[in-house]
Amino acid sequence: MSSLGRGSVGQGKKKVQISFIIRDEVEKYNRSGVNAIQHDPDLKRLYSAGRDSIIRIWDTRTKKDPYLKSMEHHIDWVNDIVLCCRGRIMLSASSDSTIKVWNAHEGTCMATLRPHRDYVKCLAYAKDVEVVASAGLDKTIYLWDVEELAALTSTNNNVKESKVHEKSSIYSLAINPPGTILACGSTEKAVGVYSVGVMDTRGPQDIMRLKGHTDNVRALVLNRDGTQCLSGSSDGTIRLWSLGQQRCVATYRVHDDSVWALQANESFTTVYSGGRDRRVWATDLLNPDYRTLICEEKSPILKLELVKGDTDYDSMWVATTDSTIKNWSLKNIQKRLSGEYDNENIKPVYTQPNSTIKGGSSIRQYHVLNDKCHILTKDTENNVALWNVLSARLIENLGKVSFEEEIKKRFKMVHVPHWFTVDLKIGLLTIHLDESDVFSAWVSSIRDLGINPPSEWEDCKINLGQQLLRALFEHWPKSHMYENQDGMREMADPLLFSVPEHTPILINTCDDGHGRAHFHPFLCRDADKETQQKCLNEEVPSWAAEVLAHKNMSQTVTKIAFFLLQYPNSGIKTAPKDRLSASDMIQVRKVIEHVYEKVLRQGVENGHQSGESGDHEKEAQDISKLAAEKVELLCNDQVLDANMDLRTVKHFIWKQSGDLTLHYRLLNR
Amino acid sequence: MLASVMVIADAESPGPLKKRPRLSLKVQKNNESKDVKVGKEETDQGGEKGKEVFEEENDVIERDLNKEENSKSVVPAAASLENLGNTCFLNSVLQVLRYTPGFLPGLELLYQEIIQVEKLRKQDVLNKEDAGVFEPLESNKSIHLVKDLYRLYKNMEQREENHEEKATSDVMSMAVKPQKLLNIIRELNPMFEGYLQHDAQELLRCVLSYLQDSEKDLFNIKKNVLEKLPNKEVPKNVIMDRFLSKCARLKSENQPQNVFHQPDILDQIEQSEAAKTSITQTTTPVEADTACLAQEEVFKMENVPNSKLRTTRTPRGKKQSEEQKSNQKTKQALKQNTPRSRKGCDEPDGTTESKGVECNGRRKNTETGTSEVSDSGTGEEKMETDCGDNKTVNGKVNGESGKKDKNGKQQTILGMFQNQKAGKRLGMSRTILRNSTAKSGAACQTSDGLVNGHCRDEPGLGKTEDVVKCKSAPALANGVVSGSPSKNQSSPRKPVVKLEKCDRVCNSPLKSVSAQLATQKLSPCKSGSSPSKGSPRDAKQRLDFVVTSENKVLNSINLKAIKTNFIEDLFLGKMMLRTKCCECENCRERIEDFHDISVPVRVEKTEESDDEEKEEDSDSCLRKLMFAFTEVERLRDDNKYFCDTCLSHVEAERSLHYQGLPNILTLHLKRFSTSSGMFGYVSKINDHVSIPLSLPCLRYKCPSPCSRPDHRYLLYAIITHAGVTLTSGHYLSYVHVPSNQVQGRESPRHFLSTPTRRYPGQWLECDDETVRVHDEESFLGMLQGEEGSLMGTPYVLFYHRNTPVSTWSV
Repeated sequence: MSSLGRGSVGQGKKKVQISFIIRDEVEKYNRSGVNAIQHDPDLKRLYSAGRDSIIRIWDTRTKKDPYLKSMEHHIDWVNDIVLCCRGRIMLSASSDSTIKVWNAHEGTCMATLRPHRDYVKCLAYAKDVEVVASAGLDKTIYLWDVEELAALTSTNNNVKESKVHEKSSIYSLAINPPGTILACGSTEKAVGVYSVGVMDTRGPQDIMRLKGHTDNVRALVLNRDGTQCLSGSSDGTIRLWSLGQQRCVATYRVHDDSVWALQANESFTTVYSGGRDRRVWATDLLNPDYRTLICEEKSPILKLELVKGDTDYDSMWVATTDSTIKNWSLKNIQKRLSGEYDNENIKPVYTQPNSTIKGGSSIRQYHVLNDKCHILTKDTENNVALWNVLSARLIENLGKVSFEEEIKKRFKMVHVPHWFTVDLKIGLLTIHLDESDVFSAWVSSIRDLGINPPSEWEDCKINLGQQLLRALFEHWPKSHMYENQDGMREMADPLLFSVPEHTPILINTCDDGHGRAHFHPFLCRDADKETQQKCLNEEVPSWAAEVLAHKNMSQTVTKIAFFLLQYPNSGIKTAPKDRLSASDMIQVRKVIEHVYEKVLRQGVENGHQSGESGDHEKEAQDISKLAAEKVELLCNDQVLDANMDLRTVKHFIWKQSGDLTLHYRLLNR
Repeated sequence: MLASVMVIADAESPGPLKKRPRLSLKVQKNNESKDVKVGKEETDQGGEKGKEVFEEENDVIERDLNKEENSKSVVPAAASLENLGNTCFLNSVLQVLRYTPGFLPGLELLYQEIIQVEKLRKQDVLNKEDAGVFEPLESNKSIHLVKDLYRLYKNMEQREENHEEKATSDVMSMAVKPQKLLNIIRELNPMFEGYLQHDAQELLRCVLSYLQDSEKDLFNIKKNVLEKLPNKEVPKNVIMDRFLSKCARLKSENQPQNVFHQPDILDQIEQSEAAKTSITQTTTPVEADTACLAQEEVFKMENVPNSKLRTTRTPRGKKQSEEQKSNQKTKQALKQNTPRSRKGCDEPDGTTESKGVECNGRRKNTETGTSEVSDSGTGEEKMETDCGDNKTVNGKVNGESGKKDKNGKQQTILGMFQNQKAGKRLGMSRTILRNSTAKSGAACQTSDGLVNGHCRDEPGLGKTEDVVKCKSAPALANGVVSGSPSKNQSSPRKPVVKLEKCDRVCNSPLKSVSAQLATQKLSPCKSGSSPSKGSPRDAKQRLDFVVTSENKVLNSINLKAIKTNFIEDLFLGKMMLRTKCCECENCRERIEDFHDISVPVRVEKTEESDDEEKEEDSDSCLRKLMFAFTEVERLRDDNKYFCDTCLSHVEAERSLHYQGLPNILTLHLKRFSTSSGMFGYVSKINDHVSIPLSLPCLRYKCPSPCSRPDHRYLLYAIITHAGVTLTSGHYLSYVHVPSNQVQGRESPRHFLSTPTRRYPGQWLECDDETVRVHDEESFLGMLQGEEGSLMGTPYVLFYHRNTPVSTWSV
């Protein structure tokens, strides 16, 4: 159970998944690693693109509570962001294979571009011409005119795109400010260079391949006039390429491990680099012997963002796989460049950052408890927490306790079939509901699940998936009113429980063979908004719509076949071996009653035809009591608890395939 | 393929055959009737009807044969294999295996082991007297396969040895029929039934895995047998066993002399023979325990049992000596022993401790002289007579269950005797020993009976034993508290007679078992034992002797060390599968075993491969192909990898690295592909692949170029395939005959002596019945396609380490 769930890598035809995220209404802190950062020098804002799918805006002037706003529209890692048009427009690239256009000042999503067919890994921005390039694992580079993107509306949604195909997955991209030269780094281990003529309708022209790296190229920087290129690679080196000569003019081996982030000053004399070895170096490009260890982070470095001071860059934001973003001073770096060779004994120039934007914790491990309703999780700070899937809420924060101990402690001998999958890729619990198994879990009582249902539901069988779907779509008008067979409109049954209104819900459609996903995210409470309703009417898959809008819950309860035999030792005459069948949720108590009534009292019944036919209910209760006193059931020689249901018996006690065999035994009291 | 049967090694295979004067008529019946000629002798290959038909006719022809000698037309002195109907796939594999360095010795070991275990089991079953349960090892097909394979190779070897008499110009004269082997393979895998052509590579895999199975099964069977044994046969003395087995060997092989390469040892053998005489004597469970030695530590171990044995013996000896008024020397010797016995008692071993106590008691006895002797004396005398009976019974009742028990005991005694020897070196003179032993001989014999009675509760010895039992009771009562070791004044009284007995004993596989058992059980005592100064050398020598003479037997005896897995040792390599997440760049590494490397003949051009590489010539070199095989596989698109660190589906690179390379590297060129063409149609890629005679180091950890010679590989065999599809065409093999210098010295027995002598360093083309000899140069030419070419296209390539077999690490 503690295995990590698979995400929604789609295959096959038209598969629709409904997912939701269990989270706080406002997620103020980065939950996971930060893939990209952008600094707006005018507003002194910092934008961070997190693996938690949220782009957050921070005020760099206040150190206490810098959080300003979240931009939440992606549903997977945000891999890169660029700030365009003097900070007005932001473009973001995500592993959900979309590019989104944002009004950066407002923090609202203006448009979503879906040309990519795989994760979009990187963006590059040509400031002078307001052109953005995007590329990713689909090996394709697209060029976008930002002004045009900013003008997109729901009616005007034509975009001119120009694209280039690479041979392998692209992990890095750079374009020079005038937008004439484009460089991309890929698992091909080479840097592809394109010339981009603004007036050229043919699109970017492949002009050279720069070979030399022995591993993936993860970071690229071009100088202003597009004559030089810096590349950082997983082979641990930084290379300086002369595009005129089409060759590598220098190799810098300052890192002990992969280089993942590069920045250069405008005059292209100093390169700042960070990588898997967690160190940030400044290296003099002309004289590679002169280099400085600026700082040492605690996690691998994903991105560097230089902040311009009065004259030159005077500080730098560093994003790592950890959720905290730090700002490091770059003052006096130039003077400290030294010719030391030994990487081991070098002390970083700065040990304390200028400022820190604190991050939160992300969930790293989960365990679905046997009731298939509660989930135990452990996060990056080793806090253990208990969540309830049905109510989509955190139940309890258990603090820093042993995860394994808690799992053991909360073990319950019940068996409920799987009906959802869990995903932790964004550092929060994401629950996926799939058509194939969402309705597989029936329970006879949800009281044990921490939910107090209305009294009339006390004894009803409940399908967990159905009830959860109803709760998720609580605000969708269609789910309140449904048409019965006569075409009459009826009110739906009351909800058993509800989920927090801020819960993000996602309808994820993999509708073609390319694994290309269409997704439709919305908040639970927004389902009644006009536009949302319209979308939902189209998007909600039929399997969900049926239980929501038509209440056509198929009552097909899984049956379990079993044999009921006399316990070998008891002295009762053996009944013929019948293969019985019952709902797999039926409790042992009921079987005991059955035994008592049908098997044991058979003879007696004939004698005195139940004289007091009046109080049936009471009689039933009596029988139940009597039965429990007189009979007990065994499976594999183990006496069964009357409250256990048959599937639990089969799963935990019978433990084998083939029909369950139960034995009954008379109690002599 | 059948056509090839008719092809005869004539002028085409001049070979370096030496002309030798031939005396036998048979040899001269060659040249004229080349086509179909079968010598009478060949009938031993198992009545081939077709051949027999010709026989008479041939006889007639032979008489008229041109007597002129024409050795050119005689087939080479390398055994070939008959084609039994499209079985060239089998023949080519068998030939390659035969020339695989280290394969034949391994097979022989395994075979010996099987024989051992079979004997063991027979014994075991006899013992249990429930023969119904007995399931012959033969019923295990893979073990059966080993036997057949071994016999086949033996057969081939014999054929080669008798080449001069047998060889004619007819290829059949050197052909062996692998019929039995084929049958068992077909039984094991019905896939090979019928007369269709099969994939030689598949067959190779099958055969090797069956051999591996047989090793495993054999090990398990042996373990089972051994597990059962201890309960029944607790009292066993390893050393004794060893000696017995050695003796047996000596006798049976009729070559005792060359075994003993040290005079000292000879001396010892004398003693041991003397010791053997005492076989009839007894021991106790405790002794059996103490007696076990690990081979290396024989001397250490021996001291312990020595002392114990001696102590146990002492009282008895004393009594006897008193009774028989033995001379003082014996007494002294005994006294000497006694203190030592105490030393031995210091051992932590529980049994020993108790013994120590006993010893003390007994020692007192010895010193003071005991009065109790009398009763035992009478008892012993009686027992002696009984023992005599016993012996006779022993001799007669070979198959009886009782015999085995006795054997076991006898062995233990022998072991004790060994100890005595050691003791002698320490102080006692031989003569003294003789004296004492001679005197005590009677007693010893009795003690045999005693032990019988004592240790055995099972019925089956018959009258004699009953008597012995009665008698032994008093003996036991007599001061010998534990009842265990009251005996062993073994004496070299009637060496010759006893020796015979020994032989019989030795022949029974039991000894080895018990020895092994004991070794296993007792190994802990080793450390605790206090070695006395004189004996180590002695013991060592003896050990040497044992080891040298009994190399094979010993090997097969040692349960743990011997789980033979020569297939694994030869063919098994390890590769590492590394998966690297492209996001966080963490690596997951998994190590996997491999038996062969499948090399794609055509490199799939990935879109990432460089432009220049694409323009590369189509004549692919094996090395390039192999590197292509280890190229990185990318997990991407819909096949993304779930990274435990990123908790997300990411791109990843999966790559193969060779971590440990086998001694025999098998490269399988993937020439058959189902991908092209219609469904179910297997087409063959006939692309030329240039094959290097040596391969560089493939280990990923080694720097390139790797300078270690043992990481390089040399080509020694090729299986080629001529034809278009998998189910048609013809297989043949090219094998490299090792040159004398390389292999001749190393193995104690040379399995390929004839070919090695005749064609050192040359290549044999084994085409079913036909074998042609090519010298290295012309073979190289063929390999490169310069002059002529190989028959068929290379399909499976065999390389061995570029170092002598003896240096191969296991």
